[in-house]
Amino acid sequence: MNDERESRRSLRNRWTLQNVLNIAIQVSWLWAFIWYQPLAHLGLASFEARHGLLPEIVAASVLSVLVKSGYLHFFRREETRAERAALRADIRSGRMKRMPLAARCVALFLTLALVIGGTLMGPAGKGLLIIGIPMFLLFAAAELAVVLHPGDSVLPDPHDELLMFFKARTLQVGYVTAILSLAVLYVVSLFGTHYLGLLVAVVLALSLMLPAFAYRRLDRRAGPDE
Amino acid sequence: MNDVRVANRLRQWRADKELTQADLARMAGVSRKTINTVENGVFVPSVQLALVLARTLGTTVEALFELVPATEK
Repeated sequence: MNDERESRRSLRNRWTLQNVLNIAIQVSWLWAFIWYQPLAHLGLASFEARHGLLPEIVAASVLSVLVKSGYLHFFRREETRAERAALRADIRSGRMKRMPLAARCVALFLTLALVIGGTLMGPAGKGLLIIGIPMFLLFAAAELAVVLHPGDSVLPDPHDELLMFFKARTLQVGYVTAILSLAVLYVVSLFGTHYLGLLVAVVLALSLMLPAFAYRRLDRRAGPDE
Repeated sequence: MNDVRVANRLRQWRADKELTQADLARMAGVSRKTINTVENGVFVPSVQLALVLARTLGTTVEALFELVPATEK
């Protein structure tokens, strides 16, 4: 058990600028594809009219995966294999560091902004919603995992008493926020339901981020080494 | 029960043994933050962890932890 804890002390940060840039490029690529609609320009406008933006998204994703896989297979085969093995080992041993709170917060609220913007724009905001909703739910699920298993590592030590203590506190904050949010939603629904959908997304984000801030506040009470 | 709290002498015992928090954490098999928060009274450890800390420092749980009036700092 000591070896396991020893390995957890040297966490590796996978959220490097290069990785974040990679994600940003892929999202931009998908958004550009949806915006330009190349399939419609290739004479498939009637097909697209029947199936909406789904063919564009599938085409963009398939093209992206093919290009990336081809590049990695032909030019970086050994490096990719070694990187994947190292990644697997880091995850298993609990050495892989979580995405920082600030970055998670920015990601969640940015995708929430996409959802709100897309909804308020009406039919013109369909593209934003297609990207925004899955990404918002993805980051919300990731944040839920952090609330349920707090810690700096992606796989925190389940025997760490301090983390269990922090978990009890953060769950308490999350529970209270969720109950208060439901009460607010109920009161709002009595007066009108027009923006209720948007409000649900907002309170979901708040119910997930407030426990994360509570964890950070508790974690900071542990001072430097003496 | 509400008029007492758990105080500890972990910091003194660790200093007597000339150990850093990281050293003690490694020896006890816990994280450094755990040692820090116990010393600062943020976190009261379980009986199991208290026994492990006492054994690691070569003392007893009673010597490390005691009940004091809640009003006492």
